[in-house]
Amino acid sequence: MELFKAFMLTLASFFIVFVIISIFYLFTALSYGTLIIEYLLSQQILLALWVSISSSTIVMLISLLFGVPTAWLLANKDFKNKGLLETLIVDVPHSFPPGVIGTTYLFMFQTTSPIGTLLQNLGISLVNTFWAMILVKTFISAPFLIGILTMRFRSLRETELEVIAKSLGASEFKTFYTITLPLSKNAIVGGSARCWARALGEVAGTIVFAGAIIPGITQTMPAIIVFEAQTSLPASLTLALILATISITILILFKILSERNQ
Amino acid sequence: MVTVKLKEIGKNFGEVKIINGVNWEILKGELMVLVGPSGCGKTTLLKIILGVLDPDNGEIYFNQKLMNKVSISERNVGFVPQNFGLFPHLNVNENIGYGLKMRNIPKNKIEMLTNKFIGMLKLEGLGLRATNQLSWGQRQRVALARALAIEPSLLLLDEPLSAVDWASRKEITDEINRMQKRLRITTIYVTHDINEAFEIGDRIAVMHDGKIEQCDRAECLIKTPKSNFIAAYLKNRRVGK
Ligand SMILES: Nc1ncnc2c1ncn2[C@@H]1O[C@H](COP(=O)(O)OP(=O)(O)OP(=O)(O)O)[C@@H](O)[C@H]1O
Ligand SMILES: [Mg+2]
Repeated sequence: MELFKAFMLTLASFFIVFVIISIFYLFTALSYGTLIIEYLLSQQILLALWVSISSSTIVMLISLLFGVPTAWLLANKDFKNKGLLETLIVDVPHSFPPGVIGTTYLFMFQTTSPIGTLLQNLGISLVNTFWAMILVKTFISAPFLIGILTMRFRSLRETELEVIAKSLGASEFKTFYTITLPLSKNAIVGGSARCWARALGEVAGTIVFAGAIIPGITQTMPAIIVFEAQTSLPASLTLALILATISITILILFKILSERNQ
Repeated sequence: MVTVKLKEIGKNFGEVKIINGVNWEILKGELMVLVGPSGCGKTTLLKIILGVLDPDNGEIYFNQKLMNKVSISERNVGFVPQNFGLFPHLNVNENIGYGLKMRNIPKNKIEMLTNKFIGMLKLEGLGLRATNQLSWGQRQRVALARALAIEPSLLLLDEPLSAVDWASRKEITDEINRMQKRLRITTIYVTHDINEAFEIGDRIAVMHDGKIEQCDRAECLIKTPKSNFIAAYLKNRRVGK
């Protein structure tokens, strides 16, 4: 028993230290103090921050809109090949390098493809736009929310609380609204946070499909950081520091929100 | 209050026949005990009557009405599951009043009815408690109150004593008996404990291998068991209470 405890604690401690050092080593870049001020006053950087945060938030909202029903379906309805479908929807996107999905969309929406032609006839062009970025980011990020929600809805189904609610006269909608949702608050907040964070960090898909070079529209912070890393380490590090500070702050806010909801 | 009639109910899980042609009638206002060894299909049968599970074949009648296609929320069946199934995010009052709220009954009436059941089940002073701050016996009574509050036409109790310590058992069986006699709600009480069955039931249905093997008054079961299984099963009974 003692040996077991020591074993578990040692490995856990190693890992925790590894992650914490990885995150906080970035903060030694604080030595480039003057650069930070300069960047925080730069219009390009402020725009990139705005694009990053607003696009991630939109991706999160879209993921909630479609992800809650998808998770509900996967957890509560039984049909043939559900396991396969779930793997496709939840797991496979995790394994796709974002650059690959960016390339796929480029191919799917080019003007010679059927979908591209259709959109062109409707006067819509997606490539290199804000919404192109939203599309890639949603594909990459929504599965984080859907995976967590599906697990939660499924364990809720096992408790049969929803069945009891229905036996007491609740309709499907009222059961969802008065039982499923309130008992899934933590999963919803936690899943949204992960979805949001993934969307914020996504960069390769955005670069491939949306270009990521138009300030205020497709140029995100991670894209600038990746470009800068090739020429100037101090610049790249300083920008990374700014982005990390903002995202850590927002993730902590999510955490506080989910704990307050308990 | 209804007469429940099951005709040739059958249910498979995959290839396995779990319920195998159940014919059964529970009379208006009767306290029927369903007893049988663990795994024989009692909970499954209860869920078919409740409407969570669709039977593969057979018919369910409440009075003369065919219920197979009636949804669970419209069957008006009170259900107390093996683990009570209290809503953890609602307090005692809100749990008891849940079904009334779903029926869009006005707030003051819900409050009145909730208080009535709080009194009836001796839960005074606990209305604002979270359900995880209750003893097992109290949880049991909240679950019962919640099921009774909707004035169910049928009450299903799945092993209501399974989570209750031995000392509180007598108290709770008495409580259920008293409540049932007072409200005269048709009730099915599931247990795998033959002694409990004999203590509480008007009639006792013995289930075995997915079938109701015999359904009779206690003394008839003892005098004229219909099969060797029943005769052997009754031998497990503690003699002389
Ligand atoms: N969802 C399911 N899928 C497959 N088999 C199931 C399922 N639910 C129950 N069973 C099987 O059906 C049989 C009857 O189960 P049921 O829960 O109805 O038994 P029970 O009589 O209520 O037992 P207990 O007294 O232990 O509660 C068991 O063998 C069980 O393994
Ligand atoms: Mg059971």
